[in-house]
Amino acid sequence: MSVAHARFENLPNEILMYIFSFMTTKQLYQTFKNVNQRLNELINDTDHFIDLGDYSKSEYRQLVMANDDAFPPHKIVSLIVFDDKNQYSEINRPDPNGWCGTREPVEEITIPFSMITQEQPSIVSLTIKHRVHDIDLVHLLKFLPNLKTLSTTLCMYPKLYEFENCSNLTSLEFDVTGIGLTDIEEYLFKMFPNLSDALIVDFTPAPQIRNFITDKIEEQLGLDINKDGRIGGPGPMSKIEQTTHIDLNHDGIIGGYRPPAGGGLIGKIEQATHIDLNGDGRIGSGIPYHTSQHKH
Amino acid sequence: MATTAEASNTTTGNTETATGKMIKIQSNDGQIFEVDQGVVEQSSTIKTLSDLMDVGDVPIPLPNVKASILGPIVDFCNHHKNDQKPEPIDEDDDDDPNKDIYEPKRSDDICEWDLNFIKQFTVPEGTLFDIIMAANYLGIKTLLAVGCKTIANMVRGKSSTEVREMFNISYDPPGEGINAPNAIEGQAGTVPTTQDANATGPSPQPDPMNQ
Repeated sequence: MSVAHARFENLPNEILMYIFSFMTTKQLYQTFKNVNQRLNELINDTDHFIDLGDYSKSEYRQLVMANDDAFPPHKIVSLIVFDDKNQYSEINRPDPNGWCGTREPVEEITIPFSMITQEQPSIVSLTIKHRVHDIDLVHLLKFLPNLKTLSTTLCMYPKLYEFENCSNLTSLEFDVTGIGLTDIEEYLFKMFPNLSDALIVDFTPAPQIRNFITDKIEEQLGLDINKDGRIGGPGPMSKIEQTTHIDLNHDGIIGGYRPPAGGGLIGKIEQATHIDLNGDGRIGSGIPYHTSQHKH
Repeated sequence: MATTAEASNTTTGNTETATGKMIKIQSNDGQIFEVDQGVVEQSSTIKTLSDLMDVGDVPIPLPNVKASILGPIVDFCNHHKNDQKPEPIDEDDDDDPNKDIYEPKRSDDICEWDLNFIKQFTVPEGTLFDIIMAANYLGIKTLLAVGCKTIANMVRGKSSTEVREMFNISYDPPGEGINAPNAIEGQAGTVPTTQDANATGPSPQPDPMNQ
């Protein structure tokens, strides 16, 4: 007696979707697109992870942008923009078929971002690897209202204040190589007030910025984390003030640092408990310490 | 007539008796397998049924699984019953912190024993799909993952034409599905013509990514 066995088509949708979950969007399209209507519809229902390192521009146009029905942009949940082949130099000219390096306007080429001409609420994760040029991220982010995770190199984006629209971000990973210190001091914490999941910053070339972050954390906690004898510390602004002898931040001190009022979290606890927890000889906040500046 | 097959366990040997009471499960063609708690724990379906039914010595009927599939499944579960349980949050063992959370799951991490195990099931015979569907029915996640990863690995890099041939997938009927006149608007080339449902010849469907 012959025994009936299952066929691929007998697999329920949930299993097919599970199989899809092991494949990239490109693999999915290569393999299952236009096999039949059922698979097309399932691909439509799949969230897409796109690593543009897998595609040339022409491939992407051919595969994705020419198939809006089969590949709705609103199903893209995660984008990785990758391009380390296109460095600007006399020797190594940009690849015209690469994603970047052509200096074309964003609207015309870059990314599948060219199709992001309207809001794409589905995209919650964006990774821009290496020095991908010509991406107007500020422009792009206007269309990504639900973006939660951004990983990028900010060296292309010197005007950090423009990122104030990114307030929904809860996770940020960025390389600040080349960013001016004053930009960081002034905008870093203002720009991304909702960061709660992750903040990974590559400070390799600029250790001063790391100190600045440490100082800010110290201010929040009211603790001398780095054992430099003070809680918090002066930022780059103080150096500019020392050089110019102008009280640029109107804190009444030139080149110095005024610790936070209240003594931070520890100060508040001390005030509540009337116990000198940090052993600084006072309950809560006190006079500023270690200001080497001239008061005017 | 039902026959009884004691679940063999080549890897755990006598420790089997230390795992508590034995439970009987019955395939849809009447064969009964006796399994221990370590096997039951891996199948959410069997576990639920055994908890609900308080079966005693009565075999749990598994009407969707035949003996030729259930036997190897019991072997699989016996082999894996002492495996460390995966972290509940991290389903796919991808612990690379640099990995995008939306990145496709890995399918190249099937262990050697599982690779050899799954080799006994084939596409032409349909047994590979049988075991995947049985794993899904029985709620055995590890086996389902092995089966689905195997399928993903088989098709990766293949064209849609090759996949259609490999799995003997039916075309859509004339004028329907992807053969509908307006189904693939804007795509270069011609719309595929409908062929016999069992056809395995090359598809006329143009595929930009495979050219």
